[in-house]
Amino acid sequence: MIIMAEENYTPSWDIGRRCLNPLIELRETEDEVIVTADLPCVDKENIEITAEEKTLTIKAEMRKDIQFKSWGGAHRKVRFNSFRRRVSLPAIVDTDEAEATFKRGILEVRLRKRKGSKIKIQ
Amino acid sequence: MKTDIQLVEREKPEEGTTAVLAFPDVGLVGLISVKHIIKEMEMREIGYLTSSDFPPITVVHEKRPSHPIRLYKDGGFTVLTSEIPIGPNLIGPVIESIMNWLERVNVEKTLILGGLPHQNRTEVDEPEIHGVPTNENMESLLNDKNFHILEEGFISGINGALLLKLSDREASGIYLMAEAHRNYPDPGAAASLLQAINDLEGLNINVEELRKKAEEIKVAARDLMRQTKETMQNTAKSQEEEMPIMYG
Repeated sequence: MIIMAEENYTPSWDIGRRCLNPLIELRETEDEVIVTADLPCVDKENIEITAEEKTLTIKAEMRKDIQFKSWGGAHRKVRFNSFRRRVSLPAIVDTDEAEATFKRGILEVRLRKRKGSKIKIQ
Repeated sequence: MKTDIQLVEREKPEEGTTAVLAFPDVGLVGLISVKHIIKEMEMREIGYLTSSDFPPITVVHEKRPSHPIRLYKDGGFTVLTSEIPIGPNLIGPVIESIMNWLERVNVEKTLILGGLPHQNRTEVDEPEIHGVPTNENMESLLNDKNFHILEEGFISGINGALLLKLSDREASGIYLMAEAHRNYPDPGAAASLLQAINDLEGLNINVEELRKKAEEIKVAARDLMRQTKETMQNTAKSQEEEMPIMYG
């Protein structure tokens, strides 16, 4: 059964900004944080990724507007034209050492975790 | 769990048909495939599953209120599809209801459609099809068409439970899976699965339209995929990617 905590519900679209929230996945290895995002209707040239120590922001313009005419509610009149998502990262990352690829509509960003200092045992 | 699940038929399917079942699961592959089959074969709705234990959701379809779990038919095929993910509490009762119906209408065989998670899906041009048959006849059918048969592994969630129930009751069935993104809608995998069904059943379902609309489907399916991901996390879905113990 689906139990949805309504107080935590956030819609997957933003009428004001005409943007959609992309699906993302986040996984962590010993030295990396890997974020992937599903970005249909997007070309590589129109993706903007900004990494900070603990957050990653993905903005992507779609190559065509998407309108859900048959849906109910106010958003049926809106022509959505972009994806936007801010992701909280599970570790502090080194923003200079990030790599990104975009293949078959899936964006993958690999961020290296900031290395700690070794502590000598007295 | 006691429930009041009812399978309501507005029209009876013919006996001896092939039943095709699909629930929201890996990459929504089964669901996307079945929606395309219903549209391409111009199937008509013949019934639904209802229960006070289902989430209180009414689907508005073609301007009319509709049940989230519906039955369709056309010619030699009967289709059951769900637009809500089935959580662990409801899997047993939903399966029992479906199995009783399959036996009552005396289906010839049952195809369960789904996706098999592939970690490097973006590297795969044409997703491979894998099958799990319930008996030798179904195994021969897969072998004749050169489909890969899963020899060892785990299948979780409602699809695995349905397959096991078919096997327990000595019914003919196949779980057909296309390699797919686990948590992103995968119309490309659905297109591969439909080609396999064309091959298996001698059909001619046009998959080009599905490939053309793949990006729009991915956009529209985001919310259902998000709900399905939450449900899959409660049905040990990650175990499908784990190695079973090998012996013998």
